[in-house]
Amino acid sequence: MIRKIHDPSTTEEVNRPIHRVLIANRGEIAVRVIRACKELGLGTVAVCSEVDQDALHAELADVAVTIGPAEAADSYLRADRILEAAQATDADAIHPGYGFLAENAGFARACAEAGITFIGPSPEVIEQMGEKTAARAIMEEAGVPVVPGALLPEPDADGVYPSEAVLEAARGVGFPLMVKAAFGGGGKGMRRVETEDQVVGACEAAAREARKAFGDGTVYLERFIEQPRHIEFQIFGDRHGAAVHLFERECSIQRRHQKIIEETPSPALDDDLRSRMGQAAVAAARAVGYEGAGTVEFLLGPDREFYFLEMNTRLQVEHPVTELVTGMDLVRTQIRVAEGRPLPWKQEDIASRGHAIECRLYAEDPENGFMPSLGPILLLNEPTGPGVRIDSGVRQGDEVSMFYDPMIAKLSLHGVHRAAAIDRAITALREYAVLGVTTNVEYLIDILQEPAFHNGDLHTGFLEEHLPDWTGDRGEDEDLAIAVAAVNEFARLGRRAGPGTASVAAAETNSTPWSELGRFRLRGLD
Amino acid sequence: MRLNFRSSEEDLPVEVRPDGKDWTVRIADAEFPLQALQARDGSWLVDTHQGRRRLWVSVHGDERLVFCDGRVHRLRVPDPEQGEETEDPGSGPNLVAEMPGKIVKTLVAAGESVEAGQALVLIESMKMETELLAPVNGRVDTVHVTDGQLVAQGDALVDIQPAEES
Repeated sequence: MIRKIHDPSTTEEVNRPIHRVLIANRGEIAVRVIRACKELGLGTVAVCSEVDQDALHAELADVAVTIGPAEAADSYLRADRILEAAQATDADAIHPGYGFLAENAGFARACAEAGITFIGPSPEVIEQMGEKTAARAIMEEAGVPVVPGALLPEPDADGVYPSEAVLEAARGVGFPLMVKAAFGGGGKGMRRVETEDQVVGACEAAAREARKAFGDGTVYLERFIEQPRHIEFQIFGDRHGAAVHLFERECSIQRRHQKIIEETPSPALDDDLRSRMGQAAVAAARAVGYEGAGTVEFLLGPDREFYFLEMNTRLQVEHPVTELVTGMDLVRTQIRVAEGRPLPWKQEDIASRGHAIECRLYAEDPENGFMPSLGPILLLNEPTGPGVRIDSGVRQGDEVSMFYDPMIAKLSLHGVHRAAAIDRAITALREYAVLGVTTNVEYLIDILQEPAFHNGDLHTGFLEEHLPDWTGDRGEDEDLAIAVAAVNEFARLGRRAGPGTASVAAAETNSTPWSELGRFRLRGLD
Repeated sequence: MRLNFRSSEEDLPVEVRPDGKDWTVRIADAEFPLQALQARDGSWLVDTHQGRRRLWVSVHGDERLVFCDGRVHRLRVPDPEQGEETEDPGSGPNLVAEMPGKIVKTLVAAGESVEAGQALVLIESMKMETELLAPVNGRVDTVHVTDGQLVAQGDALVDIQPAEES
């Protein structure tokens, strides 16, 4: 697909100014986007389900429209109701965030048909990048390295593959290899194959699974990359043909394809490899005429060969680390670019300073099979300080409900170098008190304290290798915790916390440091 | 003040008394002084040989959760006025929902014999499917839920008549 390139001399040309943005999402990302809109002086419309009516995102927006019951399929995934809400509130743009409808080409198309600006790439690009075999072909054509692989000959009507032809394709790819679903995701329709005799059976099984899960049984073969790193590049394009990258993020710390800790720069890249991968990412963006913010994901093998994995046509969860090291505001830029303005930077304007790490806080129990932990947040103390950024969708007293993703907040840290960022992350996590729901705070601290993490020896199997069957270690502080719980009980039930206790003493004499300060000041003025 | 904490499986008698500006705490047989000051936000500042540490305590029913340097300690204080703790509903022969969720599929019908560990109900919570297993051998008395039904925490799912011990 070729886009018409506008005359770049009209640099301040605004095709369609945005006045009011509807945010088709919830939680921390909705909050993030609402704040960016406010900074730009734009009106904001939140959509919410019935259980989210007093959620933070619904409170922060100028208007909140309830679009349906709690279940996402009846609310946040209802494109029709979201468009109705946009029209009813005169919103002229929709920001989809990530997840839900963010990579739904049909929704992007429906927005365009309704005359509403979809803040993201074109429906055609979303569609092309959503189909893995099509994306591979486009990238190969553009000279972007892809994982060596092969398409398969058609199976017969009973789903039986011609075994000789499949074997030949498999030998060309090499073993071990992966059988993958063309429309797949989340590990479904995927099989690892070690030897020749397993290939045909694995293809048939994966095809059956893919047909069930995605409605299309097309599968293909890909070489299995041992101990890869997950390294992605942030890209940005505009309507005037410009495309840049904003460096990489390493997201190798994953559990079942779910990222937990991300950082930039990657400890694995040197300037040469970074520049080659960055050029490949920009080539990928140009190959589809990419508009807005996107991410090109690569696998990096231990031999330092890199391969295109997929392209995410949306804002990424882990975008804060890129913002911290580049000083750029990705959401603000998304909105400006969606208005038709040119990118505010050229490649040479973009520099990375220091090191940033993001830790995702999940309401889940790592000691109990990572089961989601639901219920009210009884106590919340968020860390603060220089280089500490929190993107949170919850407050103390909020309820973590079963209906949505258990990620409740992101803690992002910026330090002068990697070791400083790790120190800052551990220190902040040790102050990140969340009581009521169980979180992965302790698990995150233990990952960050692993010697292999410090050495930067990361790969996507890191957690299985270094923290299998993890349990917390609360032994040494258990007595301290019991003693403080006992003292707390005394203070609570005795309504007296003993001499020298700040809060009780203050309450009894009805004086605060502020009133003391006031008196002191008055005397000083006399 | 005497308290009875329960930590994991252990019962711990705890005694706490103010001692000048500080506290004296006895846990089981060990007694030690504690320099603890409650901050304005309700957290506790404790001076230890590792320096000052801050702990947060939340009170929820008989549960006490203590956050200390990234780790959460779970304690229970059985209320002496209410006598013994009410029996944990999860430990009986009947199956109840431990968390809110959506019933994906019921796998048994009333009258069916089941063995301990057999899957009875498939439930979905926060995008994750979990099989709920029979706690005991027995016969299904009542199935309270149907496929697709939403359940709240503590809702009865399946009642089981335990098999006679032979």
